[in-house]
Amino acid sequence: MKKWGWLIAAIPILLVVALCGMFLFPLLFMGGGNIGYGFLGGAISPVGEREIPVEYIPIYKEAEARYGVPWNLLAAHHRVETVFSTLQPMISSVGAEGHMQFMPCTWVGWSHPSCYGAGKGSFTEEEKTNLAMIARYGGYGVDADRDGRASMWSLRDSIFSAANYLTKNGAATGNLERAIFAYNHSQDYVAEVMMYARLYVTEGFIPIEVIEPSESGFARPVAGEVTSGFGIRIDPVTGKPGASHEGIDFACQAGQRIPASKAGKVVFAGWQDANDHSKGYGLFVWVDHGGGFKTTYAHMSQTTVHVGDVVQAGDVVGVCGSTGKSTGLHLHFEIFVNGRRVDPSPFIGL
Amino acid sequence: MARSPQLPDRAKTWFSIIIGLLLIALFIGSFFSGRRAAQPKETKPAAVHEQGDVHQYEAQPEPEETTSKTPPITEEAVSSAQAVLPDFLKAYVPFDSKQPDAYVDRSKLYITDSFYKQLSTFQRRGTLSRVKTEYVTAEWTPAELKADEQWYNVDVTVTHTDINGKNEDGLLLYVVLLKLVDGKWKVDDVGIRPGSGAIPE
Repeated sequence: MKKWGWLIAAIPILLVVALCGMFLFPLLFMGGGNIGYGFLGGAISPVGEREIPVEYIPIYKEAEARYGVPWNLLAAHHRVETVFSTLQPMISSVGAEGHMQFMPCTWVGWSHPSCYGAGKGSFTEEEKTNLAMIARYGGYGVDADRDGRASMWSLRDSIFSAANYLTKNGAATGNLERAIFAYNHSQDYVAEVMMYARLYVTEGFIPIEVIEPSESGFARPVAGEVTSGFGIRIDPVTGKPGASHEGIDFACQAGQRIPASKAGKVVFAGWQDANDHSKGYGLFVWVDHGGGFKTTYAHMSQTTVHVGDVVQAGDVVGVCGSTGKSTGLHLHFEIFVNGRRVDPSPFIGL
Repeated sequence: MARSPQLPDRAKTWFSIIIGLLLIALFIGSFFSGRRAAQPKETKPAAVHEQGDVHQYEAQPEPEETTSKTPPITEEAVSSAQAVLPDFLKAYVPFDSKQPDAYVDRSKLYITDSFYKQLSTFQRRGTLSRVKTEYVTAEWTPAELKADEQWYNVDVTVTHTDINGKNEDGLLLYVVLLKLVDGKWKVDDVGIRPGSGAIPE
């Protein structure tokens, strides 16, 4: 009886542990900040349908199923490396080979004695495809077409090998940029691969900004028409992104006073480049609102505040103008969150 | 075997059940009170009342404590820092896959030792679709200005050439960190902003 009694007593404690688990487990998967990101993968977009040879898509998807690397990331690599194997001959000036442009040492294995520098190595054609050799030297080459060889010149082998390489560098666990950088040590390369990966899916990797307007306390600085919104413009024909605009432009009139959107402290007031008034923002004011928030009032003809001034929402910080890189009177308004420009629209109720 | 003289077993059982239930109640209570405290204040965006051409705002709370504790930045410091950007970009951006390290050597004069070391560590490889990249123009705006370090968003218009000699325009969206080293502004890092690779307007 005593034994069963203590067992009954333990039930509430187990319940507490279970409840803790129920509440805390989802928190592990919740973002801590206000701004989050989407993810790669998903259904093919119209741009993807137009650009990617249809017969390649099942291969990317099979590689995704096997290695966990999003299929559109593989397609993006293929696009950036060889424009889907259309750029001939598929050998680069440093010795990268095949559909996905592997360096022979990466394919066969960097522990091979001939491997150093860029990784061209010294291999016979047979050695480059030899599975025993690849296993021995720790290479990434894969025999996906099951012909007993792993060839950089086999489309299937090279795509699976790229997936193998990317997953071992973190792509399957979300470290996409690190994995892409490992593939080719260039920030420009990473940016380009990410751009195509995003273009090739409908719902993939669109930055999702989750903000709470009611918390912001920002007011629309001027009532004028919005002449240019925030974001990257997408070419309606190619689907490719055009130049970015990282603020909102409001029409304003000569002499119109520009008020602060929210209370804060002026941290800059002056020319972006005192030696060249045609540069960038021209005459601008930055107001730091605390909590990582900062607003920009750019292209003004005159500033009416100084660094260190504390302003209230509505206090005039300058006068509408067209200084800097501007073709007409307007206010360029920005909101920074922790050093990054974000879309002001939801903050100011647009 | 001697039984416990203080409490009978049955009482111990019930006592433990009560404590357990109290623990559950406390836990659930604290969870919901925590959620209530974390809920945002329902402060609506300030309304704008038109009065002539001046916008009047409703009273706002005092500004929160600002994050900037550093000394104020001057126009002169901003101008002198960004003066390094044109020469740096003309050295750093052009790329030729036949000389993949040339851009690092060209940039050496304009970058910090640590960034030079970082760039020298990895060899960049040209792709068949980008065997050559040429600098066309660049524009920039400040993102963060401090007395000894400044961040700029830099938009670089480039022309890429593929292995067949076909040209394509491109836009590289960089974030460039400048640091004041021994009285000279030098580039300490270059990152990529989302949207890079876009087509210039």
